[in-house]
Amino acid sequence: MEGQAVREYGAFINGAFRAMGTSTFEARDAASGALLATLSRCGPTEIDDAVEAARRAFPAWSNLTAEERSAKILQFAALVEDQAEELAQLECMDTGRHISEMREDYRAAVSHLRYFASISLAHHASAASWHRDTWSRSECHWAYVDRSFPGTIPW
Amino acid sequence: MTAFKIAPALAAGNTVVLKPDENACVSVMELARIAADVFPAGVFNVVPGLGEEAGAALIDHPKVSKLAFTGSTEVGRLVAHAAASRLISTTLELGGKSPSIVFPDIEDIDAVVADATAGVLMCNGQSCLAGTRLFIHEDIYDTFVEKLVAGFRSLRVGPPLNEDTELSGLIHQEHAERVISMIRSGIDEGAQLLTGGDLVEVPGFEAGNFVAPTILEVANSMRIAQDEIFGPVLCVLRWNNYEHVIAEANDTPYGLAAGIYTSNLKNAMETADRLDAGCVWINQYFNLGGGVPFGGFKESGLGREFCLETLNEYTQLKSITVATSTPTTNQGSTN
Repeated sequence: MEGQAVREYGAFINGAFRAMGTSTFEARDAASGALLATLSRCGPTEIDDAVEAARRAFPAWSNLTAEERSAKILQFAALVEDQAEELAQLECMDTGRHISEMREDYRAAVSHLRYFASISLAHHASAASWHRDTWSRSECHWAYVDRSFPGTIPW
Repeated sequence: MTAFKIAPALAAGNTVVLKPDENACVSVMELARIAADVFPAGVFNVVPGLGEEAGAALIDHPKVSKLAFTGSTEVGRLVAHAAASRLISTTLELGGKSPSIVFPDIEDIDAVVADATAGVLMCNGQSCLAGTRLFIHEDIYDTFVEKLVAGFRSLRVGPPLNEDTELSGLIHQEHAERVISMIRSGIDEGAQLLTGGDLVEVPGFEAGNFVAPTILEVANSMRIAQDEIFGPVLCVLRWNNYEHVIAEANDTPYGLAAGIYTSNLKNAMETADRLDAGCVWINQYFNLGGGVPFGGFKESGLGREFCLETLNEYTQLKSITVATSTPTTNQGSTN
């Protein structure tokens, strides 16, 4: 991975990378000190745009069936798995952590994506059937519970 | 780490804006490149930048409905304040100073030494769940610590991409200097340095921030035993009284994880019950995977990841109750 071109990253908003702009910060190889990447130093403007993009995408995404979302996440997991070695090496350079451990991290990440892609299918069924079975379905009253989505998640 | 957040959020039907740590963001930008080929536009967005700029703008954004954060307890409080001001829910995975208790009935000291070593040195010690306070029973203390020190001294400290490296450097120079400074403060307050304690030079990687794997013999009340160091630094403590060791193990502001090493199942379960920690690992540190809840007690965080309950953190309940006919004054059977 030595001697490769310095990477450049603008914000990833609404499915596309933006141009880097004039305000930037550097990511350096933690062990060698070499410049690894230059990134947009984003602020409120890009955050606004990203939140707007996420809110616009929310109705369609949340209206997919759980199975359709699960399929997308599994597809993402497979691509991450295919590129895990490259990603692990890049993250080692960025953070200084060592490769044997980082490979385990990527295995865990792929596993994590698959785990949630899987249990999200069971989750809806269990929420509905569990409550329908156990709540007061007596006389002419029937209670049930639905799960809905709060919207845009940052971290 | 990115997967821990986006997997449950996206699976539950949410869309995501992610602000990666400015010191560990390059691989996240590459994940965005992969995501671009999979997810509809806007479902997953990544905004690089500094915590006090992009991060602050994100947590304060009025149209964000849920905050999830992994990082320090200090920044976690800022995120929680932002969430409180808008009455939105938050999931926080924060700091730790996790204890491991070694009982004198362990069968194989070498294996427990190896497990406890891995437990503190994962991520070169830059892990919230590291087992950083090791309470060793006095009956085996001298032998155990001798093996521990020998093991730390034999670790191969080297560059990140070498296949046989067992410990590499910290994330940046400022952090390495902070770790060294905390070690020195610990020595000043009476901790005894058993090994390590300084930077290590790795030929060809002079810019790297390699900290020697370090063991300090401490008292639990010292700052070095209370503050999260986030480096390859293990505090060891001698114990001989069960009630005392339980009290000390619980005596930090944190409560993320705990380890127990014993051959006595009853002892293991009773001890697990008494430790204030979100995750207790018996006879194997960091025994964690999908389906096992992960998260902290006390100042180590809010909410749980890695499990079915995590989906509940990214959804909200709505109850709908139905009477199958409109209200009627007829008291008799309607069926």
